[in-house]
Amino acid sequence: MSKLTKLLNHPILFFEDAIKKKIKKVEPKKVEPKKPIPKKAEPKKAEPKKAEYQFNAFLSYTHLLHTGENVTGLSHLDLWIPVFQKANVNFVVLIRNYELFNMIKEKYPNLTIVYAQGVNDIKFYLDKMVFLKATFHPSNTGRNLHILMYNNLTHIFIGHGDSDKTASAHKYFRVYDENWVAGEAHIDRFRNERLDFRGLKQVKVGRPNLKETLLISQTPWQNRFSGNLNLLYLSTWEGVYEEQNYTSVYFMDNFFEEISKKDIFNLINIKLHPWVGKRDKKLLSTNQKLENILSNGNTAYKLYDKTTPVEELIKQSNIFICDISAVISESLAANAPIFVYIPKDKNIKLTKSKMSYEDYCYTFSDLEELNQKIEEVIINNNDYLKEKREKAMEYILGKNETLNDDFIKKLKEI
Amino acid sequence: MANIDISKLKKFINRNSFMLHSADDKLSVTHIDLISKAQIDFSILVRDENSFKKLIKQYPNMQICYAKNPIDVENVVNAQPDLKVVLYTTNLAKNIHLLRFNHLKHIFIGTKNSEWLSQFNKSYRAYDEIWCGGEFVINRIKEAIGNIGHLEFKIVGKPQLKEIFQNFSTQNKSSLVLIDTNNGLLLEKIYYANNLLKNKIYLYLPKEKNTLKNELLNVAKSQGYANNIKIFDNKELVDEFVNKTSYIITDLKNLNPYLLSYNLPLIVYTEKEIDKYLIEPNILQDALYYFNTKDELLDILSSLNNNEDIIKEEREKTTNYIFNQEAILNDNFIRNINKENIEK
Repeated sequence: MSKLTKLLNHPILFFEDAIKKKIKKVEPKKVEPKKPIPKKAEPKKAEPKKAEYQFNAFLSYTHLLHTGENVTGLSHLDLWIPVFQKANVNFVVLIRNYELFNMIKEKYPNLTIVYAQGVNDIKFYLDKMVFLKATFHPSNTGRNLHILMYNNLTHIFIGHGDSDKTASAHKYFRVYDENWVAGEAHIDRFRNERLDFRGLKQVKVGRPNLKETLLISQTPWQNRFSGNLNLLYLSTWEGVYEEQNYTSVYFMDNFFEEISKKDIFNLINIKLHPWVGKRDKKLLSTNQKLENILSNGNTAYKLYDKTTPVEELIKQSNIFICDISAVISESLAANAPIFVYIPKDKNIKLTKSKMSYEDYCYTFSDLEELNQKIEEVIINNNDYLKEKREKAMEYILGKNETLNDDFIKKLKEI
Repeated sequence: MANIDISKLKKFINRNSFMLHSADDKLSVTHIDLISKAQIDFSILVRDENSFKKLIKQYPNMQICYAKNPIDVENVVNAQPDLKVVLYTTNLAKNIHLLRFNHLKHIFIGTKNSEWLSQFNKSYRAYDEIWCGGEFVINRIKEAIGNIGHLEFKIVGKPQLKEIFQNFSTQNKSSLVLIDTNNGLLLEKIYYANNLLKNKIYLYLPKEKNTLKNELLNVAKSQGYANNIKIFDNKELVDEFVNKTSYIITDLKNLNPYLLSYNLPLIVYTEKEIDKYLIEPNILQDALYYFNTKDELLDILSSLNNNEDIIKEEREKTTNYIFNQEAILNDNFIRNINKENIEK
């Protein structure tokens, strides 16, 4: 309908439409809401060079627990802080990473903690600790050098677990006055390097953090947990280089698929090394893969993340499958069968003590061997390495020293 | 830049048995030149990026590597299957990345001034050996850390001094002056004392002191003394001019035990009597002449000009205690390197 026809035939409609159009025209344009101007990112607050928490220069601190690590030092400190607290010595924790300082402050609100970035910051605090006698180093880091400058202090290396890896006995240890070790095995590792460590005093102190597990282990493993069999799988990661790749995660999914359908174990606990998948990205899905497999099986299971301490899981288990790492000696404290994966095609660099893994662990290189040994040891109840394992507990862990609280006694002697 | 650069290493027939390690930006070329004299296959590992870039330009034919983190260091070591000895010039935190290798011998060789500037502590026990100037440093370390354990010491003197020793011919009546040039009054005392004795003066004046230089030369000219003054603005030239002088005049700020190594009477300006007892290391105290006034300096210079060097014996004893001269002249540093090379 043209405008003219509309005007002649429907004059009312014509004028109504004309008014509507006019109104439409004068309708204010919709105002687009203004996009919010993104706020400029606030500049990252510069970290302080030093900080303290509950530090009081008038208190006579005698012991200094030092870590030069970044946040990875958390597990080292978690290992030792409770022991130092139990010893009731007047100690300060010296941290060199601000993030770790805040983490420890939150986790241990009753502690005295100091954060010092550089040499001068350390001097600021150490000058105030006139009664200080000894420093304790859980790991070897370049930053330890800044503490080693204090010739008046006794420098003691306490480590963060017992391991056969080559990092356990090397020349840098000679900077310390004393090396506190769990058992004779670690001293043998130094002896077997055939190097001159004459300035380093080796002191056997046991593994205080394993005392509870050792007490539990006094009950035969078959009788623990009302006769239930709780399996714990502790994997390592794939390592920086392929030749250091000792992890069993590549094939253990097949094992769990099979075993979870059988009625052998009452519970399967799994804790993968937190770095699994760091180098080999296809391993990043391992946890999910295991979850899928185990959820289709008949056995109860639990998958743990990095926040659960290994020692807690060890206490809850009585069969262990491990890769080469310090968790073997942790598991040893439970005095129960340990199945250890030894890759066939790798030149495994280990510092040698008098006992090898084969002496006290059921070693395997493939799934077939693992299944065979599980059948022999668990199903046929033939724990043929029991005696040697108990020997290893003394030799590697310093069972007697641990049960006698030797570490705490030595701390108090200082 | 990548975290590691080993492109300068010889690829197929790598026979490097020595590696010089530098964790900071202060690797002196003297070290490189010295080790080069030993006729051995060696590489240099630099942990500071800028220093690496500079050195590869300066020594395009040397096997110089760069490594940023511990894994890179491991790769540098693995790329040299014959590597047996690492020489360290400084004791820094990063050294730990190499010191953990049990199959390598770790030797601390220090720098020109490490004997007195280093705060020796227990971390030095990480090395297998310390090659040092003389008994002085051995006693310092023993005193500082007590139990030295396995640590072995080898006296090598200061090998970089050999040339100076060989070219040395004592000249009479000339002073090498190293003082804080902001102290005009002191400069005046030194100038007039030397002027009265017609001594020649070799004076270090930094470039920014050009006005002072001109003023001094004008005064000298007006007194017919200009030919007796030689001004230089590069401290490195001390080694060159020291051969032409018969004594060194300095102040506490510029006093450095290294100056003793030139085997010349060392005359030190002190403001107060007590200052001389505060000199560190204190073994220097009896090996120095002291003056405060122009007349005191004049007396010392006159005696020396008459060959009356009353503390000569004491000074030589101290010098030898810090820098064993026999070791320097016998090339103990190079000999030790060659010995290690044979034993490897």
